[in-house]
Amino acid sequence: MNTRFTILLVLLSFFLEASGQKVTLSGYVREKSTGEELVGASIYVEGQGSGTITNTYGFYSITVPQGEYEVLISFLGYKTITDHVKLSKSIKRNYYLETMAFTKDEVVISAKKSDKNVRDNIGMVKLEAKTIKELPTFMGEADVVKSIQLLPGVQSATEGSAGFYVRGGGPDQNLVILDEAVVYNASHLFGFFSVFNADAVKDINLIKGGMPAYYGGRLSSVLDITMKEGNMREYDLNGSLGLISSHLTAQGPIVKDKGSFMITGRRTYADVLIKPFLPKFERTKDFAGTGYYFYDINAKANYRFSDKDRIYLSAYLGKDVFTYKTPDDDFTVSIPWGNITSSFRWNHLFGDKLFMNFTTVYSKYDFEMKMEQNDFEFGLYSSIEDYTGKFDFTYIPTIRHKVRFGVSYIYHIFEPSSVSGRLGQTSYDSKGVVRQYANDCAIYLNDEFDLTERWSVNYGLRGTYFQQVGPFERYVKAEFGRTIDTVFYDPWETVADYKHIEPRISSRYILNKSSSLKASFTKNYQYIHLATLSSGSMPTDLWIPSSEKVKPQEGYQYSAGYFKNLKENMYETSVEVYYKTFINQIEYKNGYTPADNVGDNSDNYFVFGEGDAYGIELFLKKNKGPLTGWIGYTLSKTTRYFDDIDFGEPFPAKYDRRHDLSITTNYKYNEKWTFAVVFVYATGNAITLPVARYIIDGRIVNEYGARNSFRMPDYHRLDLSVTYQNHKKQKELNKRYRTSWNLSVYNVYNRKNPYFIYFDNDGDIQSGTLTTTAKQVSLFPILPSISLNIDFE
Amino acid sequence: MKYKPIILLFIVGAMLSCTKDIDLKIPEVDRKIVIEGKIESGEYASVIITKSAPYFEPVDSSTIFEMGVFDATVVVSDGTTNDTLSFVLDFYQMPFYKYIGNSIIGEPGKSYSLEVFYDNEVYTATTTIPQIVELDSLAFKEETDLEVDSAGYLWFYFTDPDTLGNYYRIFSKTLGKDSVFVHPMASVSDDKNVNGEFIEYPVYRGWNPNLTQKQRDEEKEKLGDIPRWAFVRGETVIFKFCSIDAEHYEFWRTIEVQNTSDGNPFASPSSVYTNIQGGAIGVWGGYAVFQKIIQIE
Repeated sequence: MNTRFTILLVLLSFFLEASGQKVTLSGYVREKSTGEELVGASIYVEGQGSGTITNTYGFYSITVPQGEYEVLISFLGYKTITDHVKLSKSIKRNYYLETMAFTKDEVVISAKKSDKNVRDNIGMVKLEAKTIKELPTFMGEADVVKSIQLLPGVQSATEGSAGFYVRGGGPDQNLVILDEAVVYNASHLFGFFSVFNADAVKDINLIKGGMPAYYGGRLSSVLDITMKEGNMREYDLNGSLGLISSHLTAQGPIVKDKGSFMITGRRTYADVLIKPFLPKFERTKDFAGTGYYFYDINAKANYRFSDKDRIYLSAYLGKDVFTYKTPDDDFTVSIPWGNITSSFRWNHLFGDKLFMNFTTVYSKYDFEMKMEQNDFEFGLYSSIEDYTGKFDFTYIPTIRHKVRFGVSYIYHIFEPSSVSGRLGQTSYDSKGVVRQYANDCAIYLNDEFDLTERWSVNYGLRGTYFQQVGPFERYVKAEFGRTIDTVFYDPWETVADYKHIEPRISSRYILNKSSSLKASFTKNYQYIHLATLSSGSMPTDLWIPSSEKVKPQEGYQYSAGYFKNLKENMYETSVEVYYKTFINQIEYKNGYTPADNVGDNSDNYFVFGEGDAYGIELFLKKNKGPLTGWIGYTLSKTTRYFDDIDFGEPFPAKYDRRHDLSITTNYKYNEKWTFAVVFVYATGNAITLPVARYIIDGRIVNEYGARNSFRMPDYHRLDLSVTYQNHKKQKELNKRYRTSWNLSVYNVYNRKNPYFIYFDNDGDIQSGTLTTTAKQVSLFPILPSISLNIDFE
Repeated sequence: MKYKPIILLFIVGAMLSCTKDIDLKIPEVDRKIVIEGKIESGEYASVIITKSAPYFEPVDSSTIFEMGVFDATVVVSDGTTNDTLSFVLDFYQMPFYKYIGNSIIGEPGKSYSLEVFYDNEVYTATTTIPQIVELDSLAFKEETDLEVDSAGYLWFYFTDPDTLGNYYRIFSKTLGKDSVFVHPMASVSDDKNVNGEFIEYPVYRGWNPNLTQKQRDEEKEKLGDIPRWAFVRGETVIFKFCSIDAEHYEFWRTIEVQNTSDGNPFASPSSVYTNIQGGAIGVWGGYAVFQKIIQIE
């Protein structure tokens, strides 16, 4: 306990650091044409050897001794501004940056390139919506999460999956937030698309190591996505027509330069297009009664009362609906699922050094399945619902410190798997019985401290308290899952609670202008768990809270890296290594079926274990010039240890991947033509296969080999895209719109990548003619797609 | 009715996916002894002993012989007396032999141990025959959606005892159609959600697992419009309602889970429970049998 107090005292001392004759330069950095705030823009004070970046709300604040300074304001893809500032007293100044349009001349002019790679904290990666849109698409949909998967240390789950794994962590260990709201299931269409509509996205930040103390609740990573705010100056309508879906985005000022809105929607229409053809083919006629679509809507509005106060309202609604009917209607299935999030935020500035953001969030994910056949009805429902309140403060006392502190509270309602059914006259409904409620609180303090011009430390503490509360019914189990007792808890009575301190520290040392060393250590706790039967991210995956049976997940990560930029920051390179351990991981017990949840606690069906992961990540990125792109390679190993699986023998996690390579290139041939190529290669997924079989009751029974002891064949794929636009001509012709065409080809050389393996039995044992063959199913062959993008003036 | 997410591989999957044969190198594993033993109330014990086979080994007249265990010593004990089982042939089941008891007859409420001596190894297990739970009644209900109007399910009615921890397994035998007792795909259930309640449940006619594919096709053809799984007016059916113990239930439950999860890419492979000690797999299970005959009119 004493060491904790010491750390706190040291932290506090920085607040009290004597400031002498110091003055503050503060304000916002915005985009010139739209008036939108820029996140992560850099403000560098020459002569102080130090600078800062704008926060999520575009705000910056720098405190320096009185004097005259050259201030450089820069942001990737924008022209750098140099401002001569005379600071005799504290002043406010807003900067407006202009986009760098592509011409060969301008590339030469803006010789000053970003050295973020060298200066940034370890483990943080930023992707722009623009980059994502220039990558080849899958069925015409630019996808945020699939772009993230191309980074080293980040893997996709299975073919086409929008689920992702970071450095050996599970899909539930990623904190996915959209405008401060947690998104629990970030995929559409059984994982083939992510829920983030690239048209609505402004910024994507991924933290895969060295997680600062202001983020928490997950072990592995943070994917922080900011929605566009909407053009502050003029109205803009933008649409796109794709092979399977269409998008429409409208944005504009509510009050010019004070408030704006943005609304965007998309819906797939494959169901409408394909339906007439389904009954015509032998292979698809059984699917004639099938319907499938998804849609989502992103909306955001903000209003600036002054430079001191601003409010934001953001909302997301997305839904997938799958239906299946037999031709004679006697068997019907309907499966709707989706996310809804909404957040209200209030930014307030106290003076020029203390920035506050107050957030309230409502977030919900639910999944439902309804089946009907004659005398039989079956329904399955699961959901997670959050009410969040959060205060976050950024305090910038001197140019060397950036302090963030705050508190957050989440009220969770979990409904892991409630079942309703009817069989003849007997009906059953477990709704309400299985619900679990929890209070989830956190308090944090984080300081980004530039010790010297070269050496900076980002350190902090996060204190968390998690409490599962009643009403709740605990089914007490004996061997073989026999229920022997039931314990009842009253509303708000503590069922189980946990409190923990999570220290986080990362450090960066600049060796010279173009290279640095970085290292970090983090300890995280996670109080929610995703129980999954499948290898990908499926909508059926269940969220459950930590309880007396399921202890909080605990994770440690050590990482270090060497970062070097070449040719005046034209090339960024890095080598990073990591080692992670995970404690209190869950897996379903052998023989578990979703029906076991009926009238039971879902956490009665888990086994518990530990895991570790280590790896090395190599990264090379070219930032400037007509040819841009990156190569990422990861060599890693992820292992699990469960006492109840293979008697505690180590086994590879299902997302253990020895090699993972991605090459992404983008070539701007001229103003009209842009080409992009993506190549990915990955070691095959680990799977469990039968090794022997025997006869019981006249039927064949399989005996399985060790968990995940087999590998599917390797995965590799090449995608291409060509974008054509002729804005110049359209401008000359005085057209009221700008168009661009994108042709993408997925899996160019038609690689038959394994999706799953099954066994086909021919003949039967009774007549002594049984033979078995292994079959591999591949999902997507070569898939061209085309989309048209229209921007109205 | 089973939850089959495989149908969710919907449109895109059905239209685009492709399947090819692949070669998988699966390591050689030792053949294990497989025991399928039972003792029913009112009957002698009956034990089938076989060996497991490598996964990809074809099952034909030569390899199936490799799977047989014909010279084991099998002893059942009720704690006071031992009964050494005799090897007999039985062409109504697969494989065509079993070991059958001579002196001990199963009684409700008693425990029985099994010892199998084979190839210098000994395998042991214990099971219990629970108390018999009686059926309240048995009824036939026509299935109105069918094209033939005389076919349907059997419904059985009973009251689950007050104490938790009752497990059931059901069988039926349609006279003139089935040579052995058959069971539906989901043949076991427990009283976790229905403890102490009055229960109604339907049952359809299961497959006789000992028929060859050809025999099955012939039967289907003979039945014409009548679904194979249906019970039909005019038939006499013996319904066997068995109470079993927890381990015995766990064995059949995991067998049935594996049946449904096999080949489902979204399910994790499910291993089968065993209550046999000593390195063998399989089950030694007691049944408390309640039988009822219904003549469907």
